[in-house]
Amino acid sequence: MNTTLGSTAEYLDAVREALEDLPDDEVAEIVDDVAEHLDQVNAELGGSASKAALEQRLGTPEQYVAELRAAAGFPEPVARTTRSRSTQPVLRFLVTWGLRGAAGVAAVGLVLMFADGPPLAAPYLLGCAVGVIALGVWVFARRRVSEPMSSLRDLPDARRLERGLAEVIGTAWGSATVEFVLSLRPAWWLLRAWVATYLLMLALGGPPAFPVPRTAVGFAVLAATVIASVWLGRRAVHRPLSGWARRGQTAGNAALAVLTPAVLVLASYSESYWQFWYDEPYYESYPTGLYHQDGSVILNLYPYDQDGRLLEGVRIYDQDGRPVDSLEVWEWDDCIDAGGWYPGGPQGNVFPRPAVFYGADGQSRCVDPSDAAPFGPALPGGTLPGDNRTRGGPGVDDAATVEK
Amino acid sequence: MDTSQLLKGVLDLAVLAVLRDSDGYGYDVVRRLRAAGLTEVGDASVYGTLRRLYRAGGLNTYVVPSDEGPHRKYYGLNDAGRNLLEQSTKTWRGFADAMTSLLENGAKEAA
Repeated sequence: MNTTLGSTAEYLDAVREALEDLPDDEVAEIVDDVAEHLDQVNAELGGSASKAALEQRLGTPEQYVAELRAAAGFPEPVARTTRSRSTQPVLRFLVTWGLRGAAGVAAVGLVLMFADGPPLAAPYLLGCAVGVIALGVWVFARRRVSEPMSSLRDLPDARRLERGLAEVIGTAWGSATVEFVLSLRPAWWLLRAWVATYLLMLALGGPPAFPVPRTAVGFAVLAATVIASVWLGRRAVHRPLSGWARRGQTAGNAALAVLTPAVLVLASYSESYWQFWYDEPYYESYPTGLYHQDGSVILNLYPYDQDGRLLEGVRIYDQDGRPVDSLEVWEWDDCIDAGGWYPGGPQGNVFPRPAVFYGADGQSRCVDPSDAAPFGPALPGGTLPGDNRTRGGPGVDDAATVEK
Repeated sequence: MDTSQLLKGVLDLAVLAVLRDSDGYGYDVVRRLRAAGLTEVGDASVYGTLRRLYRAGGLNTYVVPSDEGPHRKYYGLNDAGRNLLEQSTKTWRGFADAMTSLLENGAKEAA
């Protein structure tokens, strides 16, 4: 199968080269015809014709083109710019395997991205980018930039894919599926408008408030893109575009289609991911943090008994018996474990918690609560028993120090 | 005498004739010509002729998806093509009659 497609594609390449001086449109039409012809002859020859077998049946590509040109009344070819024939198979090989690799990476990346969220979007996007670059290299190398689709159709995998699709569409359920998918077109118009809005809001800065924009600007942008997208979609259905407009349409659709999974993942994680990213409370879905009336955050609780002794291992509950375990956590706190929790039992409501201590050497480390307890005249006892810390260590302004 | 030389002059007419009753894709036209006895017709010549007749405005084309291959481009006669076929048929008949009678008269004189 591989060699077949290779030899017909190679033959077709040579035919295309021999037609190079003709107008692009005409070349595209002829190449269309010849591709079909080669397929038929190849099938007649048993489906796996070598290049030699093709040439025995049809003559060399140059002879074939000479005969075709004579019958079609085209002028003798003008001295055409020769291009090293040997670069073509190498290029074809590189592009083919580049695309296969990119498709594989993108497929794995897609699964990873959906499983693990935005931080793992990179492999998917990388695979897509490499694929786009490979396709671009192929189209430009063929110097048929105005006919990108016919260049792409020359790739062995594209022909195989096209054939497979044609086979599927040929079946009863295949055509029913195609009809169903086509009926979903309006849904795609809405989806792409949404994706475009999301990307636009992202480009304008800040975490986009999604799934639905929460600002007037967001709504205005979404409304505008929806109207534009549906208008363009309906127009393209009723009056198919041609030329560069059509190419632009295809490229735009392809770009949005590629980005859609990434945007879906990003949006579905937007609550936890973006808020984390923008330093908003990490555990937003948890009920409380403790704050002073002036808004400064309470990170730790230091209970003292009436004699001014620091109590340790105290469990704190609220009026409903619900553990107070959701104080703010700084993600760079040396004391929390990988899950973002302080040690101290399953409820995490044991106070005082271990605290970060900044030593004289400027290094931070997690220390026992009694080593980090605040002290000063306002506190019970005024000083801590056995306090031998260096002044300038953590004190009442613990939070500010850690926040740095 | 080389048939391929003769074919060159009449390939237009032959292609128009096989498309008269039903449209066909390129290779289909090749096969119909061969089936009609024009066994020496070259594949590439037929494709070239189709392109020329198309550019001259005598044919229209449309693409039909196919079960086996990518898709097939069908060629069919339009009104201009039908006129061309009619004209060419007349020209051919006149020419063929003239040749036939020339050959017969020549044979009589030689006898």
